[in-house]
Amino acid sequence: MSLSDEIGVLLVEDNPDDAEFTLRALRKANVSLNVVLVDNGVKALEFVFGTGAYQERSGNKLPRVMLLDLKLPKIDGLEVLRRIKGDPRTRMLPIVILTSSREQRDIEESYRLGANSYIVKPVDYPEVIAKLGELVRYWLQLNEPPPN
Amino acid sequence: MNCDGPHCDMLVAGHTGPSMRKLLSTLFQGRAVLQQTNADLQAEVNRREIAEDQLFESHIQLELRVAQREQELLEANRRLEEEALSHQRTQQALEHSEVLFRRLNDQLEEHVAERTAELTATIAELEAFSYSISHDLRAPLRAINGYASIVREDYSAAIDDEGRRLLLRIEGNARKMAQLIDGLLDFSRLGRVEAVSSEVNMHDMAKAIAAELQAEHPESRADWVIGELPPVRGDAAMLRQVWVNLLANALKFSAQGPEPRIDVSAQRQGSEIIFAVRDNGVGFDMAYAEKLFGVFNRLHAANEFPGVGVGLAIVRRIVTRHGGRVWASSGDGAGATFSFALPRA
Repeated sequence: MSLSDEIGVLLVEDNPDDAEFTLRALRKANVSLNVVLVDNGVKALEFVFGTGAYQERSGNKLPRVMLLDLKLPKIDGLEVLRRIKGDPRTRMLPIVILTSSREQRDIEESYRLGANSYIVKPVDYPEVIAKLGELVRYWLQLNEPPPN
Repeated sequence: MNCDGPHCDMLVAGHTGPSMRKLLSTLFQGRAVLQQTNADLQAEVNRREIAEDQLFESHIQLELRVAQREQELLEANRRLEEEALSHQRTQQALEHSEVLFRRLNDQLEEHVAERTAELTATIAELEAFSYSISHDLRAPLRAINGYASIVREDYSAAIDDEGRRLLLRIEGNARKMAQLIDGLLDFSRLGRVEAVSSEVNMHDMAKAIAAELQAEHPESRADWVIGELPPVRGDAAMLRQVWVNLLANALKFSAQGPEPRIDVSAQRQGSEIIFAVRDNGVGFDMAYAEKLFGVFNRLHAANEFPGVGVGLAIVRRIVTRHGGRVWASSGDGAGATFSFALPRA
């Protein structure tokens, strides 16, 4: 896969264990599209806007969906959300918040900033597989992607 | 008519006759009148003198009384002045007290504001703390759970039953820890939430929850008997939690019996209403009744009955918050009754 191909899922997750489980779940859900993992907010923005380390992606289509953790180093999830939803070029990218926080203020703030969905990471590993499978089938198969 | 003396002689020598006698008569009459007048005048003067003396006497008396009255007035005036001065001092003292009072009041308000700020800061700290628990403790749990599962899945051929059993124990513990964290968070959240007061229909609430629990556990053939429960004033959401915890407990600990029965009743007692949930389940040892309501305290083994032991701690916290109290009684093996008292609506 080259970075210029269409990207199905952009996974923004700094915890290597959670990332591993999510990727495993996506594999099991037979997601045929490409999955990209970045482990901090800066890289996430560079990827979406085609800047910095992802210069060659400039002008590319947006990923079909972004799974975004809130607790990230460098720039946190809410800031990434704010910037992507705040820019007309990238606003249409569906962003699913995927986080261990069930805190009201996180949920409120995420929706206020324009998150398309808010999923609390399941505690049980089997649930992770099941829920993420559902999640990705919904966004990549059932859901109509925004036009590019 | 008498006429003696030299003048009379003179008169007589030069003039005698009837005209002289007339003249003398007139004179003598005149003298009599004069004497009378004189006497009258004298009497009048005497009277006047007496009157004057009396007047003088009165005058002296009056002067004395005036002097006395003057003295009294001066005295009264002096007393009034003293009183006025005393009033003034009292007034000053009062104003001084008022100033002091206002100053103390301001100090008190300042103190209250300081303390409120401290408490607000503490609450914020606690919120940050539980927020941290929410994020940071759950992640490694998920990892433990997940990797154990993955090993079981991907290496099933290379692991025997014992290996699988051990892995399951790892997963089970991770799950349990997550429940403990959730329980702790629920318990701590109570302290951060504002209670909203309204009239709560306890009967309908208990009945609805009993129905929900029964639907969730169709296999338990529990007999729910909900008596007359008067309404109370309180936070509906919190009181709901109390019923859920108590009724779920009652069901959990009686479900294993042949004919599980759960009785919910209420009794008015003075200024309180005492609600009771009685089950005919396994009961508990009364010697440990006090510990029942502590956080994470359990009186039965984890493999006998599920649960982390925070439900009753939450019940106690909520009931206490409403100005009530909780207690429990049981004979080991002979059911249990959990009671809570709330002030009347």
